[in-house]
Amino acid sequence: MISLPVVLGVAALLFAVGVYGVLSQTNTIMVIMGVELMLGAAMLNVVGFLRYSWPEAASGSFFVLVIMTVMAVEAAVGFALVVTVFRHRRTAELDDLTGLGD
Amino acid sequence: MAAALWLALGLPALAALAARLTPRAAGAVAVAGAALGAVPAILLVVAAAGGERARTGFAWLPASPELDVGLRLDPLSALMAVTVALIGLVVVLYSAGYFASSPRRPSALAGLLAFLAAMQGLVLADDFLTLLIFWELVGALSARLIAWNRAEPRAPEGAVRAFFTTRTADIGLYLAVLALFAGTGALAFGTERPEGALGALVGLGLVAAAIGKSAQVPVQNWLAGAMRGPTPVSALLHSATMVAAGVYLLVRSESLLAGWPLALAGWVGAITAVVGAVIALGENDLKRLLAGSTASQLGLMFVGAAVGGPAVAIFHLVAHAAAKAGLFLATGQFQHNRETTNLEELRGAGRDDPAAFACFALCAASIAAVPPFAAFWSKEHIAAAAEAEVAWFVLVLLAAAGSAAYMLRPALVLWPVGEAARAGAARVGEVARAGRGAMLAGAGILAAASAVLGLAGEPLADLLKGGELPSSTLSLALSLLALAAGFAGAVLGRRPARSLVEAARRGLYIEEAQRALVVRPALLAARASGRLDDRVVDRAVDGIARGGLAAARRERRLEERGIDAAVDGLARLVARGGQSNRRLQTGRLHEYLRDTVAGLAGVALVILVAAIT
Repeated sequence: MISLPVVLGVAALLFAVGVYGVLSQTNTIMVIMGVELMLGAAMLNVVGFLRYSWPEAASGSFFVLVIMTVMAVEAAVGFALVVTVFRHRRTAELDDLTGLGD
Repeated sequence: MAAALWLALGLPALAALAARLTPRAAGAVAVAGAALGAVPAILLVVAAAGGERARTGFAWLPASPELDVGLRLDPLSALMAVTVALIGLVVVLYSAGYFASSPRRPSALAGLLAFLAAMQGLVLADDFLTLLIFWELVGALSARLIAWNRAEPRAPEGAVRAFFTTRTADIGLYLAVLALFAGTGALAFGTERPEGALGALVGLGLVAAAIGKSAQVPVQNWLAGAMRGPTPVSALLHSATMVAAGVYLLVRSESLLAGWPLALAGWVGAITAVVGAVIALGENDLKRLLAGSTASQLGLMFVGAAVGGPAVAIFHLVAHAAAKAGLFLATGQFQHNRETTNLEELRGAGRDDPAAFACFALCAASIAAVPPFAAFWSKEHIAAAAEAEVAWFVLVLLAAAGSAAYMLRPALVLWPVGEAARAGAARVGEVARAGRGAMLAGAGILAAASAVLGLAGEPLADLLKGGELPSSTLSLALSLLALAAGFAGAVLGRRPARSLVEAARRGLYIEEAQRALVVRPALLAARASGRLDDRVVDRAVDGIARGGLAAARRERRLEERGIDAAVDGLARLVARGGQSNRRLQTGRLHEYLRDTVAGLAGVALVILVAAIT
């Protein structure tokens, strides 16, 4: 059985990769994927803590399943937005989309 | 008898309240109340005749037992109470008819009954404190009655004049009562006048109060002004109540007034007797003529009180009360028929209404001192008593001749002998028909009383322990001569000299004199103080106001500079903060993300540090 520190370490690594992706990528799709990575890291934390604290409780697994569904919905909406913006502007670069600043 | 004393005064007061509360049945309630109120008064006089005396009262100030308020039963108070109650009953009965077509009838009847109650309190009072209380009540309620008629624009003026004149004279009563208390330490009746200045104050004050209430010279004018009131009110005020209070005061405080104060009252009375007769001769208004006659007759009572003693004065008071009330009630009947009291417009009114004229004639005969009517006997006693003082005797005889003339004159106008009755002349009108029965009953009772009251002299003197009523052949002969002279003058149509009539119409210029001596200086003083007020006081007040405005303006400037500036500054600060915050809002998502990550890292750092330490 994998020990909790290992799980937390992997989750931290995953979160760091997500943060790096969000900050470094210029394409909107890549930024969204970074966000997904961070959410996955958080989910890994939740699963790890549940597994080691209340191994018999089923509610934790359901909670994680709900988060996964939300992630999928969020990704779908995000990608749809980006596709629509791309059709209008012919670009998906984040630094070109500054219309909210004015 | 204590209960009867309180009832004599309480029943009319209760009836006043009841008449006010039951407007539909006000007439019946008022008559019943006045009749019930007469019962204890009659019981009182019967008891007094039987030699009974009683006093009842309670402490006004518990700490000073000498200041009691109470009622007393003695011959004088009982006699006055029964006169007031019976005349009052007749007048209320008459008023129930007189005011029959007036929507404000309950108010008038309640006013009459309340006034009767106050007058009963005045005559039944046991000491000067109680007397003073009811004396004031009588004055105030009489003004209310005189001003009752809202359709008469000059009624308030007459009421105010009556009130102020009697009120001014009442100051004399206050001073006298205070001086009496200072001098003797008590306010009981029947004490001796204190020595020195206090005694002079007591004497002068009491005589002044009597002069004011009884409308003697020089303030006889309020009586004519009081004629603006409704006729039943005049009937009540001019007979047994109000004006009678002055005579009653003289008689009641006889022991206090012995000597020069009574002589003063006698002189005032003798002069007023003649002045009033002249006024009555000159007047062209029937009610004002009767007012002059009242002043004259009251003057005779003053003379009677001064020289003849209580029995003489009170006998004339009773005889005059019945006759004068009857005259006014008959006049009210004519007034209803013709809607005027002007003598010229009343020409022939007696022929139109013979019943009322019969009452008028009987009462007028009494006032004119035609034998054997009541006032003939009482006036004869006064004349006989006045023989001792030649000047008064002459004045009394002149007044007697005058009264004969001024009573025959309106009678001849009301029933013009030798003139054919005008065809189609005004008959008894629609207004007059309402309540006519009650009105005629009232006038008739008083006319009958005037005819027979002459017999009451001796029993009355016995009751008052006044001894023999003075009488002499000389005064009898001269009185009859005066009567004949007066009648002759009236029949021949000899009016007094035009200037005298004019003088009479103006109240013998006494009013002008009062205006010149009192009113004008008072007005001048008022105007001067008004100017002073404008120039000095107003300026000071204006200055204060200006100062206040300036202070307010300074305050406002301070506010604009201080508080407003602070608020504006805060607003500017917020605006500047908003401006600078706006710069953070670039719209570049990467910058937001960077800031978010930096913030989260900061939070994590803080938590880490907190966890380590």
